[in-house]
Amino acid sequence: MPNDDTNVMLRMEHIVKCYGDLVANDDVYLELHAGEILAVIGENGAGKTTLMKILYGMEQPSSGSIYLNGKELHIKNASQAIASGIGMVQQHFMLFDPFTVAENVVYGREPKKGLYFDVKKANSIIEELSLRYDLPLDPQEKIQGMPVGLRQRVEILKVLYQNADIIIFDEPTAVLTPQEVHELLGTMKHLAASGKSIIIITHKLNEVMEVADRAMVMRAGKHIADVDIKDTDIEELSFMMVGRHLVKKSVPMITPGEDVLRIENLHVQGNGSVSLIDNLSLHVAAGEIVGIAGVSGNGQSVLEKCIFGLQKADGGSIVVKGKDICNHTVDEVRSAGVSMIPEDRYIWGSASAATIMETAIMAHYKKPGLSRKGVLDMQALKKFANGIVNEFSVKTDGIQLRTSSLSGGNAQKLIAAREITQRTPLLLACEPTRGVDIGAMEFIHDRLIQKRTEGDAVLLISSELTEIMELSDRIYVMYGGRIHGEFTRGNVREEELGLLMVGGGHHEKLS
Amino acid sequence: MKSSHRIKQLAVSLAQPAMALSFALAVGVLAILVTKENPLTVYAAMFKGAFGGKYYFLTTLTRATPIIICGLGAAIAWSSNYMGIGGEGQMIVGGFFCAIIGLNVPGPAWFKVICAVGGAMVAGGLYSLLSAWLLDRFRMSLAISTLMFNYAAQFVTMHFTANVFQDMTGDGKLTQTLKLPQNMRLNRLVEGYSLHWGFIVAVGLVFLIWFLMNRTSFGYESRMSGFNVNFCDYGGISSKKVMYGMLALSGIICALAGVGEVLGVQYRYVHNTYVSSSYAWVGLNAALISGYNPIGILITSIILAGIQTGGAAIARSTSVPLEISSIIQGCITLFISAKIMFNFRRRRKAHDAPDKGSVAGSISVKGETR
Repeated sequence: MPNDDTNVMLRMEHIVKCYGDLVANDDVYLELHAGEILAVIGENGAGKTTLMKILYGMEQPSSGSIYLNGKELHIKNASQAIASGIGMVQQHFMLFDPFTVAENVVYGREPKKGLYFDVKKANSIIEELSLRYDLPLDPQEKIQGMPVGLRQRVEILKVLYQNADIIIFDEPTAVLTPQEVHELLGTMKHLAASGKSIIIITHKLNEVMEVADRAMVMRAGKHIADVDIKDTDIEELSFMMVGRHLVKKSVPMITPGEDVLRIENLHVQGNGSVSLIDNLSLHVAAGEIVGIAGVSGNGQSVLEKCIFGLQKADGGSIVVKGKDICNHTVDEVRSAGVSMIPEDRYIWGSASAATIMETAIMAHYKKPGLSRKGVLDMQALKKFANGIVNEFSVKTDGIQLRTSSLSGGNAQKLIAAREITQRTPLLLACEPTRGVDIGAMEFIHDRLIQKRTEGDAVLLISSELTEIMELSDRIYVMYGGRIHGEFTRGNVREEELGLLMVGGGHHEKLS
Repeated sequence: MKSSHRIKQLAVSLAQPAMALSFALAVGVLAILVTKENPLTVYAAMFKGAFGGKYYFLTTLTRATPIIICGLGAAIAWSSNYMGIGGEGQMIVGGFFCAIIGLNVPGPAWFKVICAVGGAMVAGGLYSLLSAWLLDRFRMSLAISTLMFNYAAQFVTMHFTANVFQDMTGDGKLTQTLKLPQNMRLNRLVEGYSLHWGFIVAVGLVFLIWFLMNRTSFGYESRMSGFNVNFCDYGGISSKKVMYGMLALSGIICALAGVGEVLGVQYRYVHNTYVSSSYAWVGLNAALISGYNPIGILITSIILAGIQTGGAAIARSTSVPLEISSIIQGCITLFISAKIMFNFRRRRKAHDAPDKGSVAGSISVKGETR
């Protein structure tokens, strides 16, 4: 293992990056040795991607410095990073479909014969590169119709052609099949053995254990630990990644009633070769909060959109109160007794240019008392909007102001208020407290518990493990579009969940 | 506190059109100086030619009538973020069908008028739905399809007017249909002046559209769809229905502008008159300047019509050419579109921001709008 200090190739010191009030990177330290594979791990929003964007010149740090081979470096943009020998294999491929492999790889720095593009030379260079790094590819094949794994290989060749010594992989396995993952990990080892240094950003710990030499753990923008992979295991890594902050909330015990939501064998294919939702079944009873834990991107947002009628399912059934609502319109789903706090308050939950009242009355305005035969009763609507603003203590100078004048927490409270006051038998709460302050979070949690205690069903989808542990009467773990485990309240440790969330551990079934 | 907020809002909404107008008049001063005339006298003459005296004022109002109606038609589509520019074609279709139905349907006059107006509205609505369908089915840009259809409408109706419905009683120099009988025509508001009842209908429409946009659930739905389509879909409103509904309505209203010209001014369909007076484009201008506010459209349409009639008046009395009013109008469009581009970029930026991670995104969205 190349672990002695003389071998340090890249050092990032005291990196701080702020977006407004939010500190995305808080005094982060990173060290990369020549020829090693370093895994940067952490939950979503831990600041991994921000750190890599800074290294690749896509973002400028608020403060801090970067040293490459002992010399300080100011990376202003991606081309400067490439010139310094830093390459990035993007999560979203940037390839020209109608062009060949060779044309894509040399794009921007083509070999020339006089004024003309030298196709033969390009092909031979790519052939030589792919042989040297064991990345079998036909230089003359067109990108069109290539499977994802091969496309990624083209991206890797692109970085190698740019002569990168440090290669960053941003969530490289997210879109791959297991076989492709296996091949990619082999490629990484091979690259490291031939002298390249590799940084892999991921939250899949089994892959980290298989391929990395060292791991750097980040949590909430902070550098938590540097560990050698040979001295650790998945349990310890997931513990460090998720952190421990166990505050118990008292939730009155009640006996759940009949099933309000029952999903059976739901299947969503999507466009790729990996199914987005794979034969998923679950149920939620009246008087129950059921949490779905999982790292985001494992099918949760597809699931919530499917239930709510915003995305088409390819198979299975979604039954609410005895009525199959699978592939029905949002309007029909709402009438069947479902409401939803959407996962993004600005993309789905509100219109920033609309007034607070207009945001507040969505899906309420057609009810008797608020409008009659398509004509809105403005007085009643004002009274209604003021009512929920007061009841949920949304801080504002008036409901005639724009929704964008609300702070994040207050906007979220407004949306939660709107959906909870629908008084539907089922509420989907998707990331209900993402990015809000503690006060708003506590408030929304209390309201969810109150709704459940009044005998309604709540399906809570959250990548925040603490939230899931605190509120849920029953917990499902979702990984790769499947249910990867099921537990009742108090019968699972956070570490165990963290492990299942990242694909580790055994598939457990509630007995 | 509440009322001071309202006054501030009103001031803000009036500031932009006022600025665009004064900038445009300033550019007009330069243009007038080139013709070696005194800008002040020219503007005074222009004002007199537009609003000074009963004859000029009523002529301006007559000219404003189709502009107001086209402005309303554009406003409802644009406010729900469907930026069609097919008002001209819709107006042509409306006028053409009104004339040929009115001339060819048998029965008493009241029946013929109902058929003519109803038929024109249906034709305008269906014609507009064609662009909506192309957008929905093939993602075809609404701006392009509606613009191209303007030409199709103009020349298809020309063909039928010239070859099927041509007025053979006169010298045949103008491509036009026969005149509608006396009893089908709209009455003059003031005897001896051109202003007709169509103006009253236009003012009625202003309030009707204001009510539709601000006091009905259909108006709420279309406004929300203009602000954020996702929010709309999530709320259970079919954004597709809103699109079809709004574009059909927009076509129907613009068709009424053509109906007004046929029943109130020319009493027949005359090829090219709507295009050469660019009613629909001035109407769109009025809608943009007033931020899609119907009452604003009423006022701006009259001002813009005044610039046109005033421009014609000074061309008669001074050496300043008629084009001066086109220059001023063009500058108003320019300054207003600068504002639209600015808003559009701001909105796009705010929309792109959440990609940077939802928390960071939400903060930058807030930053944008403050």
